[in-house]
Amino acid sequence: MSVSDPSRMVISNEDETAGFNLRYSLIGLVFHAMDAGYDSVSHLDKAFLRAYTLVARAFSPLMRSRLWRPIQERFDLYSETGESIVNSWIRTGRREEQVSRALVRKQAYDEIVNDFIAYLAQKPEVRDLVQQQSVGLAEEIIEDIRENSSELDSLLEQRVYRLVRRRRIDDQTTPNG
Amino acid sequence: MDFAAPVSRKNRPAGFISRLEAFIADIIVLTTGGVFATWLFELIFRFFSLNIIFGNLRSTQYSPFIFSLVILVYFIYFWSLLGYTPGKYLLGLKVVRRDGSKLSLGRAFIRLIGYWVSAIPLFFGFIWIIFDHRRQGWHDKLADTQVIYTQGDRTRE
Repeated sequence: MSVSDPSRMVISNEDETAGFNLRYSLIGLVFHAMDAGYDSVSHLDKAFLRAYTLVARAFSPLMRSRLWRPIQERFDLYSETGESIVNSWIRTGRREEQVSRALVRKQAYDEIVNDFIAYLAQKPEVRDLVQQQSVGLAEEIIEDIRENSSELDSLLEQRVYRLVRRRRIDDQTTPNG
Repeated sequence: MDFAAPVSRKNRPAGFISRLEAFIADIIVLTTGGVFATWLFELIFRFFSLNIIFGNLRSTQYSPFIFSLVILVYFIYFWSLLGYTPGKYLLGLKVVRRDGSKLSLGRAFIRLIGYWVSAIPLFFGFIWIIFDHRRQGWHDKLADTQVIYTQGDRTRE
């Protein structure tokens, strides 16, 4: 399945109820409204730019006069204020988008991990492997304890014999030998 | 200086530290078992309403008896039937007679009594394992037993 073509990813189900259809239609409406909104804003922006250019050209002698200067200054002030407000919105939007993305990513990651663990837990081969690994590790630890204890036995005896200045007479023959 | 090649520890007498660790592990198992046995005794006592005959017994009255019984059964059973207690098994040790054979019930009982013989003079009977050339404690000498390693070194085997 091609991921680049979202229309191919749509799964239709004939058994869908009216409630489901209503929900999907509302979701679709939101997406269509968003697209329509983007288009409208784009058209409005272009139209406003054209209108502004035309008006600016027509009124250029007036706008260069001394009478216009106070109005221009006030306009610049409002413009700066508006720009700073918009900038603060951008900053907030950028921050919130990152937070939202992180939240969504974490949610998705947790779900995938849980699903994966559940999938692995159902596999008898994986269960056996984990069990074998655990038993192997426990055996390894016990063997380490045994070896270290055995070495400590000899070390303690060496130290004690050195302390009491006695020579050790070993008779550590095996019981049946 | 001794330049003799190192020998595997399998079937050789076990030292003081290994045996002490095994004993500590056994105490943990015994305490758990004793607590469980006391609880079980109380349960049975109440189930059969034995307080009518014996009166209301406090756990401090009967728990020393139960603990003693658990210790007796635990050591004698494991030494005579398997040759090792759970603690000794964990440390890879085994109790055998000097000729390598298993302990009888009577010998296991003598060895257990020997524990107190070793413990009463400030545990010197246990500490004797360090000085004895066969690594025997007083209880081992009393019952003619020996504690040996059951496994060799991984690097040599």
